[in-house]
Amino acid sequence: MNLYQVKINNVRTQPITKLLLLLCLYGSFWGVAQEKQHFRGPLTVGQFQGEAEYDFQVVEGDTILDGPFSMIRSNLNALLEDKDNFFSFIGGFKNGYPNGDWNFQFGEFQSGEGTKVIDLQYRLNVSGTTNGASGTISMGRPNGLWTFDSKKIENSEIEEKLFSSTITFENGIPQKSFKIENETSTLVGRFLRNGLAHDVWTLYTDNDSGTSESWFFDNGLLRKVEKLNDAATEAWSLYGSSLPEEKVINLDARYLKILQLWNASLGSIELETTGISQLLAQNAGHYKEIDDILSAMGKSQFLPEFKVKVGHYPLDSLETGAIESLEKLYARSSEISQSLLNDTQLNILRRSDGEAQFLYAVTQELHTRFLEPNGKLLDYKRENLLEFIPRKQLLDYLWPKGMPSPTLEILNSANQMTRSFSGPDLENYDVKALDILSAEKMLQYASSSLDSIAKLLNDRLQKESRLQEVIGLEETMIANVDHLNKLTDSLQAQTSRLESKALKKIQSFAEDQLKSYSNMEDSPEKVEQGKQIMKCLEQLDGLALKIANLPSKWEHIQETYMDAVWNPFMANIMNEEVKKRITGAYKNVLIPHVLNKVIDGLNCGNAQNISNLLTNLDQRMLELRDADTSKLERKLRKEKNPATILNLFNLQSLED
Amino acid sequence: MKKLYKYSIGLVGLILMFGSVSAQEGEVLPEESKFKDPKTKIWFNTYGNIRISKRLFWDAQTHFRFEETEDTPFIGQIGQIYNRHAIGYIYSKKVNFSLGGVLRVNFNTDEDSDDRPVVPEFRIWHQYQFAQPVYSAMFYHRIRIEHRWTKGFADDSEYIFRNRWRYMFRAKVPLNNHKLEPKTLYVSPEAELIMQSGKAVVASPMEDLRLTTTLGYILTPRLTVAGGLMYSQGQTLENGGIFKQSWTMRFHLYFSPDIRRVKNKLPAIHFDD
Repeated sequence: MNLYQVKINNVRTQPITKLLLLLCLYGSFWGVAQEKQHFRGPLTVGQFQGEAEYDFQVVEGDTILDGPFSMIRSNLNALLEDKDNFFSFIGGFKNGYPNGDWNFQFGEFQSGEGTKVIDLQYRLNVSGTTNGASGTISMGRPNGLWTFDSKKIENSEIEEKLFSSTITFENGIPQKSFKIENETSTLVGRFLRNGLAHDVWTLYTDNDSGTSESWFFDNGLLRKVEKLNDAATEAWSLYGSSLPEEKVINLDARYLKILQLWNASLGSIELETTGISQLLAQNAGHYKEIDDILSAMGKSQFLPEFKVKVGHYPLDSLETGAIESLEKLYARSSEISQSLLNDTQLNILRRSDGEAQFLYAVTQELHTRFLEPNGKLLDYKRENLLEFIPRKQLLDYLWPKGMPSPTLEILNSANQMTRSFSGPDLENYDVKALDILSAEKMLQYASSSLDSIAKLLNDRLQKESRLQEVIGLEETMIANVDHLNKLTDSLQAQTSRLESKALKKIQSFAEDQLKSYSNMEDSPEKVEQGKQIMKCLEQLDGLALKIANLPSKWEHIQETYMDAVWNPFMANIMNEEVKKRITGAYKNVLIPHVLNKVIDGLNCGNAQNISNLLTNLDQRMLELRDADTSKLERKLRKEKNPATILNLFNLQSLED
Repeated sequence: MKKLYKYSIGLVGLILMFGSVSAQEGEVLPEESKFKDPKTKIWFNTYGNIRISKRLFWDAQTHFRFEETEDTPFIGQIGQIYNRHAIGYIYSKKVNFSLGGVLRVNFNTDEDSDDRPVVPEFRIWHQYQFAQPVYSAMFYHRIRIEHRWTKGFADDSEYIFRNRWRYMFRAKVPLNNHKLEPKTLYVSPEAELIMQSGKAVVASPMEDLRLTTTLGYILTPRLTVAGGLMYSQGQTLENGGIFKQSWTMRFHLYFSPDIRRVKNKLPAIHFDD
């Protein structure tokens, strides 16, 4: 006691020592604080934004949550005004993993009717939906009993249970029996310790129809599905007693597809699993919501893994190779067949052309008998279902009539005669058994057949379309020249001498083009030439319009280059021409230059350029009105060379 | 009192004119007003209005006035060189005021005179001008007040001070256009009455009545030319009963440059808004 007192006394008497002691104390707290830090404040997790409080460590720049965690949000004002989206997530983390007891609540409430004051508190009824989930998590995986429920609330009372599920886990693996309910049905079932579905899973419907659906699992393998409907029973046998090879997969959408396909390929009536699969999907959705929240903050594997067994029939290397080649062949040949079948021109042609009709029918046949089944096969491959159905069972299902014959018999509906078609690759078509390798050969044959058909048809179609094109082209060409003639004739009167001379030149040039086209021999080149001339005529038309517009453009420029000036002698406002050197250069040098260019050197190559120059020049003139042009005006004083002036105007001059 | 003035002026006149007939006439009003033979004159006038700021301009006028003489009957010889300057204030597009001075140089056109050949004359003047659009034409009212110091050519002549009260009405009617704008020919009739007062003015308050018609052409907003003919008559200072008359050919050049920097010109016309 004395010693202590002495020490205190010492400290008291020596302020520097006191300071050092305090610094030491601070230092040690600081050290602890660096280990683990506390956060309290706003936080955004996915779509949720709220007030959070948690402990964390910073390890190599990463924030690792460690310790209790809470994040909540509720807004009374929002609730009173309209509605409030509330939530609360309370639990803990260990070394970045969610760990320990967790409780999730979220939903949306609207303020209901009636408020009461009870025990000095306002009580307000609410309506809406609330979702809750609670259970224990062991290092990111559900462990122990997990319950989910979703309720509809009306005036603060539960009106309806929308969903609930109770599943027991051990380190993420579902165990023992579980129960999942929604508004209309309840599913009960159980798992083995390794998470495999076992025994009977039954879906009861809550309404009075008395329907139920039962899945009979045997150590993960679904043996049978039974549906009871109004005392009538439907049953599907799925996996028989022995399977050569089994594989454990998750009970998910793919599993349901495997079941469907298995059942269909067995030729039984369609398996309906809407009840159970829908409920499982709903359950998975709820788990996904929680997993999204947890994954956003730490490491989590919250999704429940319901395990089942299916038969496994892996592809060997030959089959894998064949499938790869199938994919390419299919893409190519289905493109050809689709384009032929959808070709509008062919659809018209085949009505008048027997040969085209025959080839069209062959294409249809190839499409349905060779291409479509292969397309389905590839779909199964893409969905990862192929390895879970015995090969023969699947191929028999795809080609129920067996292997298609390479020689196609086509019935002509007009004369009831059949005509056969064989592809160019007939000798090499050697298909004995129905397997994936022969499917590839089939597709090869179909592909080469389609190639030959396309070639035959395309020749016909091209000839036809060229004829159509030429007729269309010539009509447009004549219309174009007519239009040009009318335009230039109507404009002659309104334009100056030089302008009308230029218009006449355009007119005569267009006529010459038409003449040179009509003098050509009929050939594919003529069509090409015609297209060129068409383009040229369009450009000439545009140029003529530009030239015709020059007087109005000039008027507009003159108006633009006017400035209002107050005349003191008249005491009124008068318009004054400004920047006369610029307008002068336009009117007296540039426009005559362009028009002379048209008169002396118009061709299909420069028509567009001249037209563009006129557009740009007009644009530039309008820009120069408001620009500072004192320097430019000085340079324009004695300049008469159009190329130099264009250069001064920052415009591309016409090349000779 | 008035009589005394009259007599003293008459006395001055008597001494000046040295017993000539006109001296006697100056003293006595004739029974009927007498009109002298009209003189002919030619005036070349330049009018400059030079904008110096948004509302101020420099009013610069230089006139060359020729009078007929016996040797050169028509064009005559230079009578006055007339420099009128003022600073004008643009009150609005239609109203402006000016205040400034005049230096007029009077040349003795009397070939027989041995008096001083050149005499300066000084004035302070201010003017109020109002414009009024009427259909396509414009009417103008001008009130000009001048304070004038003049002296005669005689060696012993002293400056006398007079006030001039001038009112002018003028119209400008476009002939080939619907309004006054560049490339417009216009006709401009005008009438100006010049009254005077001052100690020296006894019986001749109406100094001049000018009736003019000019034909003008607006070249650009900044340049106008005009020419016309003026008839004028007025009481002689010496005798209110004797009227002088003249026919004057007038040639005008109106110019209005703007020496402001480009950026200060904008907006060029908006005074009020």
